[in-house]
Formats: sequence, C-alpha cells, structure tokens
Amino acid sequence: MTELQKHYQSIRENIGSVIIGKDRQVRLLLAALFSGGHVLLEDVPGVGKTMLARSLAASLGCSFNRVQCTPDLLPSDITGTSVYDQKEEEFVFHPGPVFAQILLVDEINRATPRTQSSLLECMAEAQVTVDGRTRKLPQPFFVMATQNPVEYEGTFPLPEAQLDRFFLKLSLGYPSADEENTILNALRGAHPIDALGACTDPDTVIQFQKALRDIHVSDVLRDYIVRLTQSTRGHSSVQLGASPRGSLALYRAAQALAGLAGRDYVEPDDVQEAAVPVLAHRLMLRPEQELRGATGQRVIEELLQQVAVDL
Amino acid sequence: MASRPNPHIEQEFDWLEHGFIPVTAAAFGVCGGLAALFFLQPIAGVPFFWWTVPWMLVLSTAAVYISQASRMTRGPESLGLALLAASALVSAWFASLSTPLVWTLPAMAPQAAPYVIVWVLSASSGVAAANVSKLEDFVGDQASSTLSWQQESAQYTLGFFAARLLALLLVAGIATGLAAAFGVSAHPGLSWSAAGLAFFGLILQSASYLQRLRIIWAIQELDVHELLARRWLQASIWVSALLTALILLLPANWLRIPWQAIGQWLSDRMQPGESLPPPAPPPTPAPESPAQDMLLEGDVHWLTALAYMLFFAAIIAIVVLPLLALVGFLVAYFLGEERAKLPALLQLPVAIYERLRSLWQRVQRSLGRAAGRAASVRSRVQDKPLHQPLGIAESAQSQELFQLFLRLRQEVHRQTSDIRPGTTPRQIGWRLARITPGSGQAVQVFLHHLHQARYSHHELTEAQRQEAHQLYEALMGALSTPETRGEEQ
Repeated sequence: MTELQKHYQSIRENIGSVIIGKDRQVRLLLAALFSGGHVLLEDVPGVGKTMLARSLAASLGCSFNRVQCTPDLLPSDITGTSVYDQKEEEFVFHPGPVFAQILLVDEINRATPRTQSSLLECMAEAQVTVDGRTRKLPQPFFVMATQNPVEYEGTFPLPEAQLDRFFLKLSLGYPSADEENTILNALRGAHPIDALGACTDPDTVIQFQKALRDIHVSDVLRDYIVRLTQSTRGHSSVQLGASPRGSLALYRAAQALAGLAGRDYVEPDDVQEAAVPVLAHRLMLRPEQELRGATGQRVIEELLQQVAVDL
Repeated sequence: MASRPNPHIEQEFDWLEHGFIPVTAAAFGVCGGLAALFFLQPIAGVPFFWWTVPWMLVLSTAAVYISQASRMTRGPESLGLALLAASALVSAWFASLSTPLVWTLPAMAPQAAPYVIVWVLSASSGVAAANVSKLEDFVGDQASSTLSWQQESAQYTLGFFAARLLALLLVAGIATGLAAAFGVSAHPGLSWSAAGLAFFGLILQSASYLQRLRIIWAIQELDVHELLARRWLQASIWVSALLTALILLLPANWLRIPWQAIGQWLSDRMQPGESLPPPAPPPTPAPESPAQDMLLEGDVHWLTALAYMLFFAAIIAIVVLPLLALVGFLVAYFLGEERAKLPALLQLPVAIYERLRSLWQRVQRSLGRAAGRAASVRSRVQDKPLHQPLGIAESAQSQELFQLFLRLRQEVHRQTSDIRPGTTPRQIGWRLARITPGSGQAVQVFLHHLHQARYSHHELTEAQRQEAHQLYEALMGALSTPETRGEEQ
C-alpha cells in the first residue's frame, strides 16, 4: 500500500502543477480510477474540467481522446464504424474515440439519448459491439464526462440508468482568490500541461486496481454502508433511492480512499468522504422537495448525520 | 404565458404550503369552534354575549386578510373564506334568537338587522377583495391574462355568490324540516346544517384552489398544485369532521361542569369510609328570575377569562401577524426582494413560522431518534451483546477498546452536546482534542489503536493495548479537570 501512496503523491503533485487547489477532487478522481469506475464532472465552463482530464491522462501515461458532444453526434461517431475498403475488398473497422484509456466526453448532456446510451456498454463492460462483433477496450478504461449545470436549452438530461453508471459525480467549483492568483501566475508563459510527463504507467494502474480490492472492510463498516444506502430508500424527500450498485460503489470508493491514505483497512471517515460524490447523483428526488431546494447532496449529508456509524 | 415575475417563487411555495394553509386551517378551526360554541350556548343555557358580534367581525375580516396573504390563492378563496365566516355569523344570529324560531324574516327583521348588516359587510369585503385581486392580476400581469381569464374570474365570483345563497337556503330548509318533523328546537338542526355548510364551502374552496393553481402553473407541468389541493382538502375534511364530532358528541349541558360530583368522588377516594354529606340541592331560582339561564358564577369566570385570552391571542395570531405577512409578501413580491432583506418587523411572521417549523422538526427528529434508540437497545438487550450489529462477530480486543472509546464519547458529548449518531470516531477525536488542549497527540494515537482494533484485520500487540488504556486514563483525566469544565461552561 505504501507503493500506491507513493504513486498517488507523485500523480497528485503532477496534476497539482496544472490544476491548482483541487486536492480533494483529484483524490476522489483517482479513487474512481483505481476502483475501475467512471466520473461525471458537473460544473460551469472554464473551471478546468478538460484540463483535469488531460493532465490525468498525461500523468498516467495513458492514451487520451476527447469527444465533444452535440445533438447531431451519432453513436458510431463514438464507437467507430466499418468502412468498405475497395483495395482489400472488405469492411475495415475504424475505431472511434472510445478506444482510448482515458476518454473525455465533453458536455455529455448535449448528445441525444441514443448516443448517450451507446456509452452504456462501454462504461459498464469496457467493450464495444459494432456490426455484431464485440471488441475489448484498452485497459485501464476511464470515462470522464462533463456537463454544464446552468444551461438546459438544447440538452438531454442523462437518464437515471446512465447516471447510475457513473461511479462518482464531482464538481470542481470556482477557485479561491489566492488560487486564481496562482493560476494566473502559473499560466504567464507556456501552459504547464505541455511539459507534463508521465509519473506512472497503465500497467501499474491496473495492478493498483486489483490490489485495492483486497483492502479490508470490517463487518461493522460493511453494515454501515448497507444501512446508509438503505436509508436513502426511505427518506421522505427521495422518490427513488440508491441502488445496490450504489452501495457497491461506496464500498469500492471507501477502499480506494483508504488505499490512497496508505492504509490497508477502511475507516468510517473513508465511507463518509465518499458518500456524497458516490450516492448523491443516484437519488431521484420528489418534485415538490426539489422545488423546496432539496438536493441529493443535502439528503446524503443529512443521512450521514443520522445513520449511526457504530452500533 | 409569461414567466412569473417573482424570482423567489420557491420560497413562496414553501410559505404557501407550510405557512398559509395551516394558518388558514387554524382560522377555520377557530371559526368553526366558535360557531359550534354559539350553537350550543342556547342548549347549555348560556345567554348570547354581545361581544360575539365584534368577534365574528374580526374573524371574517381576518379570514379575508389571511386569504390575501398569498397572491396565488386570493380570489375565489377569499369568497370561500368569507362564506365560512358568514356562515358562522348567520349561525350566531340564529343561535341568538329566542325559541321557538319563527322563520318569517319580516317578523324577525328588527332583531336580525344588526347581524344581517354585519354579514353583508363581511361578505361584501370578501367579494371586493376578490375582485380587486382579479383586477390586479389582469392589469399587473397582462401577458398572462386574457379576456377569458377575466370572464372566468367573474364566473367564479357569481358561482360563489350563488353557492352562498343556496347554502343559506339549505340551512333554513334543514332547520325548519327538523323542527317540524321532530317537534324539537331547531338548534341541533342548525348545528348539523352549519357543519354541512362549512364542509360544502371548504370543498368548493378546494376545487377552486385546484383550478386556480392549474391556471397559474399550467405550463410548468408541476405536480405541486395537486399536492397542495390534496392537503387543503385534507385539512378541510379534518376541520369539518372535528366540528361535526364536537357538535354531535358534546352533551347539551357540557358547559356545566359537575363540580360537586367531582368533589364528592375525590373525597370518597381520599377518605374511605368517611363521605361528605350529600351536597345540598342548588337553590331553585324564582321562575321570573333573570338569571334563569345563566351559568353558575364560577363557570362564568373561567369561561370569560378563557374567552378573553382566546380573543387577544386570536387578534395577534390571526389579524396582526397575517397583516404583517401580507405587507412583507407584497413588498417581496413586487419589488423582487428576498424576505431576508426586508425590515425586521415584516420578517416577524415568517420568523415565527420558521421557528415553529424548526421546533416541530426537532420534536419529530427527537421522537424518531428516541424510537430508533429504543428499538436498537431492545434488539441488543434481547438478542445480541452490547454494540454488536446483527450477524457481526467482533474480537474481544475490539470490544474492549470500543467500550473505552464509548466512555470518552459519552464524556465529550456531555461537555459539547455536539455528537450525533453519524459522528465518526475521528470527528469525536477532533472535538476531544479541542476541549482538552495539548492532548492532540494522545488522541491521535488512541484513535489509531482504536481503528486498528475495530476496523482492520490486524491484532493489537499487548504494548499497544496497554498504551491505549493509559491514553484513555489520561484523556478521561483531562476531560474531568475543572479547567476543561470551566472552558465548556
């Protein structure tokens, strides 16, 4: 585990030279990556979502592709398509941008539901089926999708099934004044991402993904995770609570956070830190409660206060 | 339809659902309860008090004010409230008449004139308020208003006016029918019909409320109007049911408390074997005595005191606060200001409402927590050892350290009152370190041992176990020093 922590520190410092002051988000992002999950970044434009994805790819030495979603984007534009090669007299598969280890799907809610759903198989099973043939995606496969929370014109909100497939939902938020000063200072000359080198490699990431599964979760904490997830299903503001996929994601995220902290066992604080990013976006709130300002985050924060950690 | 002018519309929804409806329902309750009281007064032998006239005037006016407190529900609702208040007034009028009732209005005109005037004034004020509000809607929200909307308003107004007249005929018909059929006093029939009238008015209000909200929010595709109308209906049904139950269940002489019988019963219990001599029969008043139908003197005192207390409380709760709320609402609505930026006086009703709501929520949470704890304790006592969830086996080491931690936690909670069920051991450790300066390192080491024992698969060494015990003693000692206590106090 100390090896993982060492790599984590170097990745964090590497990304930190480009993304200033977002340690918590970087930690959660890496927790998702090492857990084999995918991340939805919801934030206003210009706070560094794309840069975060690019710096992560560069730090991990992974291949990186970006898809800019628009309403006319087709599923084949993401997965790839077979084109007839007259010279060879056969159909040749031209892989789409999804064949990358780190895929940035920018403004995912601008794509049509059909295109969004084409990502489902990729995200859930790390494979693509085109023309009846299934192709494995390169490993590690990590999707970072972004969406803008303030523009709704011409968008297609992600359906619950798709939202549930995202391991975490994060928000970067605006930087503080000091952080913004540091950003301006750092970007006076060439952009630091141009000089960013890899500090690990994809094979190591895969090793860590496997190793994190062995991090110990005590029975007490497993029970806590279950109770926390179940409590979302009975909350008065919630129409549809978190699914078992949600509790599994919380379990894995807690393991990853413990691993990044250099421990081989999970503590209650790991579960609590992961709870909001993992569970909040999986809740479907009652419309009247949403009108009153209830959010998934508030519900989870309330439940974190109410559900007993240790019985 | 244009977008709503008020950017703080969600806040207003909240106020509407949790502030306006309960307050109005309470006003219904007060009106209905007083109406019931007046119905029962003649039965109980209580004479009609003249101060009930301003009472009713205040209530009917307050009902209109309350209705006006929400822009989204004025109009037909004002009429509905006026209808209810008017029904109470008319009922009071009927109740004040001497028996036997004579259902010829011309003959009763001199006696009934003041009540009729009051009723007409209150009903007219409701109609006027409704029409003014419609006009405001039409002028102030041109984009969303059409001629058909105005026509619709007019239909509502006429509809409610007709409904009121029909309801009055219903009252008269039922009462007369009952009196003729059973040869009894018409007052019980009036009670029945007034309850039905109140219920009828409330149902009409629910329907109009639903319609009104549907018009306003038609393009919003929200389910909120259904919810609000349903709650409104529920409240009206409860109020009507309570009113009806009150009228049906209370005995005719319910205001006459049998003090002597109670005293006798108490003395029998306190001194067995020695009973007080039977109470002397109450003096029989002379047949022409003016106090024939009066209450006993003691009863009148407490009833009068209670009535005055209710009167002043109602003046404040039903008239002053809604008036302030109305002014605050209008300022917030038309100037697009947040309530928080309004003058303190205008925020007072909302602050009171918020306070009451938070108190209620705290009570709910406390009850929920208490029930949860009770269930948890019961299951632990019955089935499992302390602090062990179902099916989870724990090592003795884990249990031992956890018990020490629980004692520390209890002490920290006693001093800070800042620990909830979801507070983690590490968060408790931060609080502990904060209230016992200089103990940060000790807390950290103790927590490390606790976490290792309880959450990891590693066993503690004997040295670590002893260290944890020593740290526990030191921390408990630090927690119990007078300095720490003094700081917290």
